[in-house]
Amino acid sequence: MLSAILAILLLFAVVALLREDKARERRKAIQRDMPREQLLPRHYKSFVDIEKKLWEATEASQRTADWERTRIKLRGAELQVVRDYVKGLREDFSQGNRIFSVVIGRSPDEQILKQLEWHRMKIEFPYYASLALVRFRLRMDRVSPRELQRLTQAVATMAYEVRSILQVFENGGHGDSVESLLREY
Amino acid sequence: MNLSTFQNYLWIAETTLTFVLFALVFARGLHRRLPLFAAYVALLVVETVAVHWTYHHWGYTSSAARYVYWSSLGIVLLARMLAVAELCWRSIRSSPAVWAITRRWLALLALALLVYALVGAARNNSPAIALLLTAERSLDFGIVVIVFALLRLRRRYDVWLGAVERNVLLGFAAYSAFQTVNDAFMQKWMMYYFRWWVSASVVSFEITLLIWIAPLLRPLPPPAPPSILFSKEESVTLLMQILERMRRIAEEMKRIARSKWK
Repeated sequence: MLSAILAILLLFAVVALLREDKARERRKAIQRDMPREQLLPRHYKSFVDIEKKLWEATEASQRTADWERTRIKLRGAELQVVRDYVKGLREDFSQGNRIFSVVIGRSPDEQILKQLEWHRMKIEFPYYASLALVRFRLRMDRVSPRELQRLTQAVATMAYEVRSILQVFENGGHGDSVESLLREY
Repeated sequence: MNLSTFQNYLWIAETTLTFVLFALVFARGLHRRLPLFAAYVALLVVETVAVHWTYHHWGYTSSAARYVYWSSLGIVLLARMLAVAELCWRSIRSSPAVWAITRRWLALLALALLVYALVGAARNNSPAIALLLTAERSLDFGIVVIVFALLRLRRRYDVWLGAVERNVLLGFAAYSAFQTVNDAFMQKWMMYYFRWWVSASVVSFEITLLIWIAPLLRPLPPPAPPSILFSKEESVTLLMQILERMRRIAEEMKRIARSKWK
């Protein structure tokens, strides 16, 4: 009986995974004409502005030395700004992770693949954990600057590693491969 | 055992669809792209012809019919397993290291399925039949798991498939999922409705055949070349450099974190 339930669930998952192909084709078509800067993670850079907005949104009594640890209750407009920022971070991470995937996936050597995959997992784990926490708080119209900072840090690490991957390719004279990586996957 | 009119229609539809699929696979040249899948389809045709010819000549309950049915089931099962393995290879062949790891897991899974089937057979009075039935059940569930794992791997390493390969995968997953459900229910509650349930199983296979036929109605698009970024030697050199940089970044991040929390 368990196998039957599992089989049905897996079949639904298979259909969902196969449907992603269409979304990928659409994304590829858009990517071809996009400026290069937009193909790389960039939203995380606006963390300072978000932090400033959160500070302004904090009541005077809460502006203490350990402000970062507080859970700020947000009003509609501020909440939307943070939600948009988190959405941007997710976009950043998926852009970075995709480039990472293509590069390490083509590794001809098992040992190198394992080591690169380990590096990726070390970024993925804090990212998904922080994302879950931040989204949970946002559901309750709250946000903690410390948690948002941790999420931003995970995305920034991914962005930094991806930029360093592209730099290695460009330094090796493979500028065309970088273009293909950014636009064809 | 006589078949009802509805079951006769189902049987005619299944046979027709199998022949249509067979013709399309070879007419569109899919046998060059997926030779083991083409062999599986060819074996389905051979099975259909052999089983019905035997029933016609020797009768449904004859020992010849029994022998032909069970032996053809064994051959088709093996062909199905190989066709799924071929799809796995085609899906991730452009990721040599991923394929090297996946291949070992697939071999281990095949071994586990075989051992499970052998253990099931050893306890039974008709070991050969029990072996085939247990192997079929475990293979059905195994295929659903393999297709899911394959698609997850494909997503993780950004490896993508053509429309035909996608449909072949979906067909295998859909049929195997239905068979798994079928086996689970048949054992406990559905024996009373045996005929209807067998009909449902035939319908599920016909749906699978339609899933496979659909992309073959148009000429096949040219196969996408394997997406290789660099030569093997170049890849190793560049990835070693990347790894070295990543280690340095990780060290730097640790140092920053330490200084920050002091």
